[in-house]
Amino acid sequence: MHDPLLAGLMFPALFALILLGLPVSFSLIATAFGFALLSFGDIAPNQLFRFLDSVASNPTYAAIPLFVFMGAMLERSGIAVRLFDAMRLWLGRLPGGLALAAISMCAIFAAGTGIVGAVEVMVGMMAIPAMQKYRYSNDLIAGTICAGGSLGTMIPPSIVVVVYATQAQVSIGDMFAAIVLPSLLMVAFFLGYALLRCAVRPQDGPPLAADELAIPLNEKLRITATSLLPALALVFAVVGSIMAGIAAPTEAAGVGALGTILLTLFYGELKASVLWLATRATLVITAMVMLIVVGGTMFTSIFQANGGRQLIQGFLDAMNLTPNQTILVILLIIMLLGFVLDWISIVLICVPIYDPLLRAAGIDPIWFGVLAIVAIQTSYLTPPMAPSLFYLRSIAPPDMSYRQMAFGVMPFVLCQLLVLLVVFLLPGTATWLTSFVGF
Amino acid sequence: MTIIDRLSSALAVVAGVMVILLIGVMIYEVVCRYVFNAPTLWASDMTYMLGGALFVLSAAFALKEKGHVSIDFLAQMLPERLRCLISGLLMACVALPAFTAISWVAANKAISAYERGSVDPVSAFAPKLWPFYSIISIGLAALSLQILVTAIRDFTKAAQRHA
Repeated sequence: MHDPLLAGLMFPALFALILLGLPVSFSLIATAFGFALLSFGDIAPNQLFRFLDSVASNPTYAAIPLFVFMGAMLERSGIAVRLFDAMRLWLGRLPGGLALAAISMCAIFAAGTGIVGAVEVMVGMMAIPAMQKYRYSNDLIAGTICAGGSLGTMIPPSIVVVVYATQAQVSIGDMFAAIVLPSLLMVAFFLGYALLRCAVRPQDGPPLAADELAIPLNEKLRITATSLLPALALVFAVVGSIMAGIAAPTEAAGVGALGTILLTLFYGELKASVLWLATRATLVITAMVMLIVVGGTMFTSIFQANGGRQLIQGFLDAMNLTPNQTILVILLIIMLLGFVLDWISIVLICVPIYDPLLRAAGIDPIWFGVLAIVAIQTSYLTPPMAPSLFYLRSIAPPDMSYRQMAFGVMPFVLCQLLVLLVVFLLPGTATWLTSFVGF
Repeated sequence: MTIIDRLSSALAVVAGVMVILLIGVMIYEVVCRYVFNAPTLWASDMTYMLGGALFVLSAAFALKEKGHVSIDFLAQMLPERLRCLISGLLMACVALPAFTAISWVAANKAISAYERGSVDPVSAFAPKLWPFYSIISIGLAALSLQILVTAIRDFTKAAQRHA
């Protein structure tokens, strides 16, 4: 049944459907269906259903609705305003204080969810008016919000990591542990850039006026204790218990989801309508993500069944690459795909194809996974086809031009490439923490 | 067509209840295992069944709410009526046959699981499988219907003179 030509035609067919505007998951499933009919005839529907069944019966994926729910609930818990207040109080005196507050807030919030657009829009709506009031330059505002929003792909418990680890058949806990230091490094680079730029050019992002921060210390501590600490505690408990191997990801996610409901109750925001809105957002996002997982599984399985692996292996053999070159080529392909596709499709299409090649070449799949996720995040932020810019456009003030946005994110893209380089040159940044994990 | 919309929304409500149930099952299992040191037999089966069922059930709702991510920067450049025509054709001629065929298999699987009384072959708890497959096939059938409705709406829009 091997027909590499058929396998080779699957990608153009897929891209044609996607670019014509058919939803990505439908394009994947329809392409798989069409090519399965061509090569396997009548049993094609049965085969495809088996893939759907295997995804639907995989308990690991049950963690996704739970993590999404946790994020959606956290968004509506009323903690956002309190958290931004607390960050502003502590960081306001520094140059670019509001930008630093926005990035730190994104880092904490990203830890609560895996959904990039939602965090970006929420933080943007709070931080943009505040920064405009202090006459921050528009490109710094745009860069801060987009870069902060993109942190959701990396910082655990990111659902990108959950899907990636499941596809690459590595432990979710190990993958979370591996990405902790690179995430912190990225946050540090983002903060460092904003701080440095505003120290050199104070007109781009002045510190807050002293009277706005004139709040007694015990009041300051009270605000911090009721906003920052519960959010951090929740995230550390969830991620920590997974990394330590105490709880399965689904269990930790379930506890996290309950935690956000209790937190919302504590802030007096828990209403039936809030609960329903969070659940509804959870359903739409979960259905979207999981249908792509189903479609991606069908697509790559049919691709492999048609001899796709031999096709790719043939290409790589013909290019005769060293392991390091192989890594760079795959990362480049991921970034290029990232300009067109969403992250879930990239992970679903690429990982099953390259994972066996990496293992054969003796490359650590976890370390490479971190590189791949940073690459996906970079393509998420890089103009012109950057989803994070599109989200920003939906909330940008009228005087902010697309040009300012595109230029504003560039320094942050450089920060991401720098992280990629550091992880590439020093694999220890990814692997060191995993050696403590799960006993 | 509004009946189909209502069906999709109703299934989403069921799926919403499943999200809450799933949280409940996880908490119950955590308490049983870590506090009473007595893990349940059924929690892991419930986890995959709820997790799998809830996303299939809400797939139609997500389509209705335009929640399925699509790459539309090229399509946006086309005139609106042409875009609707293309979208309708893709939905009706490309997506619909695939999902109808898979729904058909799912329905047969649910029926045969019921008739044979199949149970989960791996699980110690050995739950009956037909409720799980019934829900999956209902979700897939609803998704196929919602795809049909989307296509009809696109065609109607494409046929309008003043779009």
